[in-house]
Amino acid sequence: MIPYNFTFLSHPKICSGLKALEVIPFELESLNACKPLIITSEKWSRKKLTKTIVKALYDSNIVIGALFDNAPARPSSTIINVLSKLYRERGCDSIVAVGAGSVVNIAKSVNMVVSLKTEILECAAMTLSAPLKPFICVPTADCEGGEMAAMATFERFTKKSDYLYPDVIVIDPRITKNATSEEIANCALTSLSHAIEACSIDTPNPINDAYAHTALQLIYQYLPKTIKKPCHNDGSVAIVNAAACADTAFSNAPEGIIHSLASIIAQDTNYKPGTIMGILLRTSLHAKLATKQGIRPELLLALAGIDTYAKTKENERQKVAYDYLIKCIATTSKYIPSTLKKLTISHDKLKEYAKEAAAKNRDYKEKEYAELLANAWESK
Amino acid sequence: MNILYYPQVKPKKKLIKRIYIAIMLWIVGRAIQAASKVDSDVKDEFAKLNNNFCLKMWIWPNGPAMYVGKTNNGRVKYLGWKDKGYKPTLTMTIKNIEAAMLLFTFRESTAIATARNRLVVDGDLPDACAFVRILNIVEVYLLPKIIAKLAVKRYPKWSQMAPSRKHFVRIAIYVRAFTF
Amino acid sequence: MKRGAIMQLPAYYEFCNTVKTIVGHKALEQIPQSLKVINAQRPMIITDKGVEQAGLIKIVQAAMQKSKLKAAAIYDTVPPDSDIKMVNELAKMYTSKKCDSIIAVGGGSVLDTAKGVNIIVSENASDLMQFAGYGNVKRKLKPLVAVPTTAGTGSEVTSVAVIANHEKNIKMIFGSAFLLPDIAIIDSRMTKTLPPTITAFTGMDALTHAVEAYFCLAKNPLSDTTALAAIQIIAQNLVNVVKKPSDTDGRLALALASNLAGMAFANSMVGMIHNIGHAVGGVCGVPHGVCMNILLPYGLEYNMHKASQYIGELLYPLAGDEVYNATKKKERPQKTVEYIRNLIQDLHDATDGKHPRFFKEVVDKTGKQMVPKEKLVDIAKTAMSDPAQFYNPEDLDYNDYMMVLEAAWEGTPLDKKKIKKG
Repeated sequence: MIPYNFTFLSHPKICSGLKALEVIPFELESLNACKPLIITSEKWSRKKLTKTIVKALYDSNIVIGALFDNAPARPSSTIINVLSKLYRERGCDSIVAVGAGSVVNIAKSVNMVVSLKTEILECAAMTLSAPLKPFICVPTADCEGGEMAAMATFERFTKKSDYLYPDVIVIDPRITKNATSEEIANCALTSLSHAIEACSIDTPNPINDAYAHTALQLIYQYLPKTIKKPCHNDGSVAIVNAAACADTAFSNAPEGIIHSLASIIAQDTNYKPGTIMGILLRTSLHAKLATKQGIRPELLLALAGIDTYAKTKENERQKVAYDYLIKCIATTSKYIPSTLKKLTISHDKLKEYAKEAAAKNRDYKEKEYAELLANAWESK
Repeated sequence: MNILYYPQVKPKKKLIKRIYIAIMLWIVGRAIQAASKVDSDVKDEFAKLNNNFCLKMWIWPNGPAMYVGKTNNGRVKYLGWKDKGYKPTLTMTIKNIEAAMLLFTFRESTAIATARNRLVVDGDLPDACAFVRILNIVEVYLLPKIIAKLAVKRYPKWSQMAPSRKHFVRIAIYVRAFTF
Repeated sequence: MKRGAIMQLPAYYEFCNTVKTIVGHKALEQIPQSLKVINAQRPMIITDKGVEQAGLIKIVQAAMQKSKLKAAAIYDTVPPDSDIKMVNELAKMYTSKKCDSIIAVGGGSVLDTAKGVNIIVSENASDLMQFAGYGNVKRKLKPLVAVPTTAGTGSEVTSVAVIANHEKNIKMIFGSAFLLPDIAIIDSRMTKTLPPTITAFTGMDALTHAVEAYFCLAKNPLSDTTALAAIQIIAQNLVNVVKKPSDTDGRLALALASNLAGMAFANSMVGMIHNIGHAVGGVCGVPHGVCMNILLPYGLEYNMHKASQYIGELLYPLAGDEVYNATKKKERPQKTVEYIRNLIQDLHDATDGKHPRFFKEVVDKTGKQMVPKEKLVDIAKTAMSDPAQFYNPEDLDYNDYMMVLEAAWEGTPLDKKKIKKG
């Protein structure tokens, strides 16, 4: 069924694979830039990724305005102000973020400040109406979701705008393979949740479905081997590709119940959004299967491929899709618990989370949020 | 926070790779010049090109480069690596030195490199098609079969290129390219 | 990598799709708000006489009028081939009427002209030539809204414009991500009055884009999923819409499929079908979609030995899961070709024989044959100069082109034994 009323936008150019980092100078040049501010975290400079990045820029016309490798775990006005000052003083004309989560959010926030020439909190309140400075995202495999989407998170607010998409996403195995199994698991679960929520809306559309399905296929195919051996070149690249596609699908669909709850719980605790999403997704799928609407049978096509989909009888596709999804989530069971009870979250807090989620995302009632959390508390 | 801890960084050059690519471009340029004299297919391809044909194949942004052109009397000449005021009618820009390494160590064929956007072709596109055909023929002559098969889409069978022709022309190209 | 499941991650790929796509039966009505958000209020409409005479510009204007947006200028005589003189003329008009954005309503050449105009007015340039080639447009241009009126060329999602300089007898190619329109409007009203014959071959054009994107050398995960989605929609709707042109749901579906196919091929390029098709169009003036339609099964046959697995997978979106399941894996590629030939035959029947199945039966309005057999030699020679061949899985030389052209002229399948395998 083709819905008759939708809008779709994906902005980033994806450059993925062997020697992808080396395209950065050419891509910056085509955006009329040659002096980037590179932002990353100390974790990656310890693993010598900064050396890899600088070497990749050899033999080009790039001058790195500054390579800042001390991005903290959470963005703050202080760090944004420092980096904006650094950007201006060095005469930079673009930003390259190497990392995920806070690194990318800081980079996007700095981009807003230097482009709009005002403080971050003012930027948060403004409606962006023109492109920001060129921004290249080089994701690592510890993605938390949203890095490659049309949004930026700063302290407790999330700003959504088409202009917050990166201009270019560079996915290179030399960068992505530096991941632990737990990080791969979190990244995959975030992408899985985003993709499934994006294509399970009331009026799905073929364009968004294509992005979501790409994410699902890549995760299903590559997760088992990558989680065992994250340094496997192909696997980590595939998982990060899935994250990029899932982020686009997520940006083009209403925010789902799982994302709303997971972002609140992750903000409040030290758990990664992927951990929470994995638990909630398992519960949500189980509940959805029992409803009249059920799970979209096309998810089976996306996960398992044409052969399996065609072989499965029409009336069995939903159940088989569910089985495939649970199997996929189960590959992360060594690193991600299966219920909220197993985390160090107080049961009393669940009500609070449900209330906060309902206030933030009114597409669902507080009762629905509470029910999902309650079911996810213990194995059902 | 002392921002002086984060100085400006001017990336260096990859000297050894640049030298390797420069040598490879020199070999290819000289081989094309030689092949244009001894191989009938290469001669035919060049004959169809205008006399102002000038190819620049180079690595963005600072070279190395290879210039090959036709002189006024229709002769094909390797013009060197320096820009002496040539007016290229066809430019093949390889986006970075690593992409050039993939191409010139035959880990990626010309077709695959093009499909992967490693290079940008500018100028007279019909001439680009002719040039790629010429390059394919030259690679078949220059390289042993096991490597040439990686570089070209379809290695010529016996019926298309008799072994005697291949070996004779190969020797002629090597002699011409590396001597006069 | 074992190819049991679908997705093949290439060692390296690039994918870029920055166009905001608005789809719906009333998508045109969103133009004013979309322009307002990017600070544009004085659009120039660029179109051609055919579109204007079909009443489509009036529909666009009426839709815009609902939000009180009026075009500051309208130019409706873009020729079938975009020309630099026209581009310069339009740029002058744009400046004199103080426009701040462009709405291009039409097919490929209208879009290309609009892209050319956008370069001149955004860069304040006097000479378009300095921007020719790839990557020479480096800045965001003025807002450009693309409203395709066929389903279609997919030009609303390509970053390339081809503009002819008829005085110097050259074609200039401009390639840059900044040439991509800001917005593409997919509205069923724009293709509702498309005659059945044009619906048929523009639909086959879109199908060819998707099919070639799926099996050519630059394929990648996103181009694969968008291509499969496009193929399925076209297979389910094309013949129905040709038989029932007033089916607006079907029209919208085909327009969306063309957009998806455009996204796919803009990123994974096309191969020999377009390679030879461009040559036939250039030498004999045959419409692009007609060439694509005829050559599609031959492109699949020629590349079968190199891309059989992908061609076999195409059976699913073309024929559905039952047929796919019932066909043995080894037989699927050939069955795909059979389905394409059946589709062409169905379109031929649905248009009372006007939709050609092979080059021998392509005729112009006076009934004169457009592709005489003697011209095949010229076509083959021209095809050798088209760069689309780079992306084709198998190589082609002059003899290969002639073999394919002769078979496509007669309407006989290719003799697999004669295909040289690399």
